[in-house]
Amino acid sequence: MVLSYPQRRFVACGLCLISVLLILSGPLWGALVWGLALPLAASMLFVLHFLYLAKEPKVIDREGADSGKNEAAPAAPDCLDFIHEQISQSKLEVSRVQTLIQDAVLTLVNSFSGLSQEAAAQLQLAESLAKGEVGIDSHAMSFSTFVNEIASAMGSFVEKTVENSRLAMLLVEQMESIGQEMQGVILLLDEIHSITNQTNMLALNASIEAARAGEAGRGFAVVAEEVRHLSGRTSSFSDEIRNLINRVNGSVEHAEGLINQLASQDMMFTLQARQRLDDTSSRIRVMDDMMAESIGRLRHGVGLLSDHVGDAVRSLQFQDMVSQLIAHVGKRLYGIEEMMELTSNKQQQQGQWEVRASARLAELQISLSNNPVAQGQMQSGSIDLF
Amino acid sequence: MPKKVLTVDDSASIRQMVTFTLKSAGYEVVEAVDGNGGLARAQADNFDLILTDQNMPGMDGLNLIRALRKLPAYGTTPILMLTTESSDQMKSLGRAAGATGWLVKPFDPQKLLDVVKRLVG
Repeated sequence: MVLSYPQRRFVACGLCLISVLLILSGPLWGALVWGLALPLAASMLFVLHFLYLAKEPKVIDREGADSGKNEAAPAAPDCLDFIHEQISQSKLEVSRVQTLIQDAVLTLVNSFSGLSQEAAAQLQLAESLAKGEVGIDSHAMSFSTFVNEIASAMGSFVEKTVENSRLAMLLVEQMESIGQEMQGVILLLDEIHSITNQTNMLALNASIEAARAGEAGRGFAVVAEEVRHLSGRTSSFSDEIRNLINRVNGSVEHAEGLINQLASQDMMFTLQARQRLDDTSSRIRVMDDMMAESIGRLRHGVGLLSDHVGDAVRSLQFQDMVSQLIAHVGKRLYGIEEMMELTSNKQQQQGQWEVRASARLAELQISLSNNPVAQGQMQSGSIDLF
Repeated sequence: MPKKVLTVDDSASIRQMVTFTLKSAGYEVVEAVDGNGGLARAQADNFDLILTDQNMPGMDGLNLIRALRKLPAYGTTPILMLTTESSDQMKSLGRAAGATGWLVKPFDPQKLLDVVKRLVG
């Protein structure tokens, strides 16, 4: 297969165009593809270089073809085979590049998706922990709620205890009042004792007067004796009552002391417990605030992570764009190869060749002019709602 | 009952990204790898929204939209084109075919989500 000079120019220009396209689109492709694209571009440039260096034989070939004297230069068939081989290898390498990028991107998308979902799950878990929603018991409550419940119960207990203490103090006052009343009774008993003594004295005087009266006063003497006897019994009862009242008074004073002690002890214990609970509640509120702040920071971090994952998802779409670009480059290679085949058959299709070649060339130019990827950067694409 | 979205794209990574984005927001997502597959899935089920690429082997996105619009079930269903094609000419063709909107790749996940929410809630 012999290439004429215009054919070589066409092939060389095509390879040059593809090489430039590969090099210029490098930033879109990432390091991996760039590493494979460079040798590809270099090999194409090498073919380009080879074609232009072979200028001298090309002149000979053309002249030979035109004249029919020199029909085959020794190096020309090797050159064409080399180009075919390079294009074939380029297709294989392009296919490998697409496979490699797709595999890598699928793995990366999976990783970023997992990362984002894991972060969201951790945030949800942290929020659940803070709210006390984690546990096997559906009625489980948070620690802060538990402490608040205890504080409320303790508050009620303190109120009741204070009320009891107030009643106890009233009871003490009542006891004191009873003691005072007892003293009044004792004073009355003293009065009774005095009356008894006077009665006794009066009965004694009556007995003396009855004795003076002789037989006439005997009856009166009996009455006076009975009065004295009653006075003695009254005095005896009065003493017994005094003793009883003194014992009752002692018991009341003892009860008053115990009630006083009980009231003061209850209040002290309850107030101290209340103070400790208040301190604990304050510390838990601080812990709650810190936890809420930490969860806020976590939520902010997850939001940032989500943004970063969004950026990663957007950037990873380079695979689709590069894949389409590579496919387009492949179409260009196919076009070049087809044109080479067509040109190499020029001699066998004299007369029809120009028509067929022109028609096919026009088709290829239309087909290859529509590059599916116009973007040069990885910024978010436009959105149009009709 | 989550809204059902069909995503049609020959790129596995794009399908994966669309699925991840929409599933994270609570949508149910079904995938198809080309226009013919997308049409078959659409006929077998009822979707609230369809996202399709343009350049796919077999039936392309524009022809898929035209075919879907002929189906009674998808006369008014939102259909979004998600493609690298960004020319005004292609957008006009999409609009004429019955597309609801035209999103150019690369898409921003949050913006895609905003558009989907706006169309189907």
